[in-house]
Amino acid sequence: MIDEFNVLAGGEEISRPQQQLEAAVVTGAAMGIGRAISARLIADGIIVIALDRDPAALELTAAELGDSFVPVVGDVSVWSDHEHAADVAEGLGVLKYWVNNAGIDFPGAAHEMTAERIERGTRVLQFGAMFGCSIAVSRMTEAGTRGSIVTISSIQGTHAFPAYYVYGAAKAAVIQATRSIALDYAPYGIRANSVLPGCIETPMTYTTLPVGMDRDEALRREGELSPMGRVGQPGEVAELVSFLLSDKASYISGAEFTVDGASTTRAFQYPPIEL
Amino acid sequence: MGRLVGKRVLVTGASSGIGRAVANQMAAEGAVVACGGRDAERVARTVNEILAEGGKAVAALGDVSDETGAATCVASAVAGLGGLDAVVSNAGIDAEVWPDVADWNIADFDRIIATNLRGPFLVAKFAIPHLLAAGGGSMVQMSSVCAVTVWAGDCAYDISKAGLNMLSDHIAVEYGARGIRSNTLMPGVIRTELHESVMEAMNDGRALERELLTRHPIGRFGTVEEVAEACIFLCSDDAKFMTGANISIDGGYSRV
Repeated sequence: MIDEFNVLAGGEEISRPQQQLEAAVVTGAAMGIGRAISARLIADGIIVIALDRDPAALELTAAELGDSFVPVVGDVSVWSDHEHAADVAEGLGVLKYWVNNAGIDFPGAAHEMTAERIERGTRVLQFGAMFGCSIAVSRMTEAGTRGSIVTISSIQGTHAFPAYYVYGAAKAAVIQATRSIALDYAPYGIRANSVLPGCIETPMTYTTLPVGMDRDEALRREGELSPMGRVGQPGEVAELVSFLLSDKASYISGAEFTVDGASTTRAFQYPPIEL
Repeated sequence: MGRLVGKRVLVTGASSGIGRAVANQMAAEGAVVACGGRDAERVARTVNEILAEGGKAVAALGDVSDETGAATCVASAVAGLGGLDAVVSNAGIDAEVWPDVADWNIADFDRIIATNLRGPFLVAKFAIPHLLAAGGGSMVQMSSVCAVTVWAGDCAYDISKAGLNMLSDHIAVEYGARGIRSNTLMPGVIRTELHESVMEAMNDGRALERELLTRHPIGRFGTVEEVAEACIFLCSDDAKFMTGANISIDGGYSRV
């Protein structure tokens, strides 16, 4: 990175740096899908501003991913924490990418809810991504940056799952919010897309597995729900996010992409066809 | 030829005063500078000053008195510069009322110690691994003449700066063989925004200023540029045998 700085040498005329560092804010970057996205973007040469509410997990991931992973402790349900992450990103270079990834598992059917629970889940899962989108487009338009935004929704945003009332609703909402961003800011060169993972093996997924069952066995059973017969890996989501953020996806905006091993293609769970 | 060409330097408290001058002058000597501070806009002012002069700078935001703030500040610097060769721990605050010890407000005491002493410790804690990774480096702790002289009423500030000198000594002793040098600068009264705001806030500020002036044998207060010069020297290879030193830059204050 130091090579890009064109530092003063030998009293020659000083030139402004030709190429500024590109920065991405990734929320929920310490673990799971967010961590895989961070690793993938760092491999792309992007500095990742890693917003996460867990300082210990951030520290572990920072140790692993190295100097281009800049931890910022914060909560996506708090507007000013997004602002802080954006400040850090803009201080380091051009804030060009934003990934709304942070999420929590939030099970429960409608009759099990209270006003407070619905509000809490929605605040993180829906407002978190909406706060992120708002701040991202504000900063990008202000700086004249042709940026790219990816929101990590879920196949639960298009398909109802048993006893996931708030989670599913919030994941549907963020798809629409992201479309809205794509529409409104297309004239300013900003793209926005949603990624809808199926069941991905992450620490959050571990918490949803049946208690008392061997983890590998539980994951195998979970995987059987997908036509591919397995759960996905965080890196398989990260590849798509990297592509959608990059200029390679220059005409792709306002779209949704599943990464679910064909899970949502299936209406009924018939056995595999005989070959 | 600049004295700091290619050196990657973090300057905390670079929004204003001494830190702002240090950041600017180090950049003019060829350093690439991460400007630390709490307020994004104020830090951006310093960064933009450096860029406008053709230098290279990035922001490194974070409140160093806070563990996660200090970690973010150092991580931003390392990410933006690609590593660290020097750190100037300059961020500091002072109280606006100076009672005797028994009348000190506990929260004010804690706040000053947190920024002036805990902050440099946290910055050192997070930055040292990066200095080691670079094969060594230089740390400058912005102390004060107050580390060795008592200004009656300002106990928290004086204690924080005395402690800071010992932090610097610990770094010097513990990391000397591994290539990290640490020194302190102990300025006397320097005309800065902090100094002006403290004087403005006091009822008898201007009278106090006249009294302070009598304590400077050289007959005037110092400038931020003069402190920045000393800082550049300590971070340059010219000072490569200097470590664990406490250097007065006070117009003779500490001798009176």
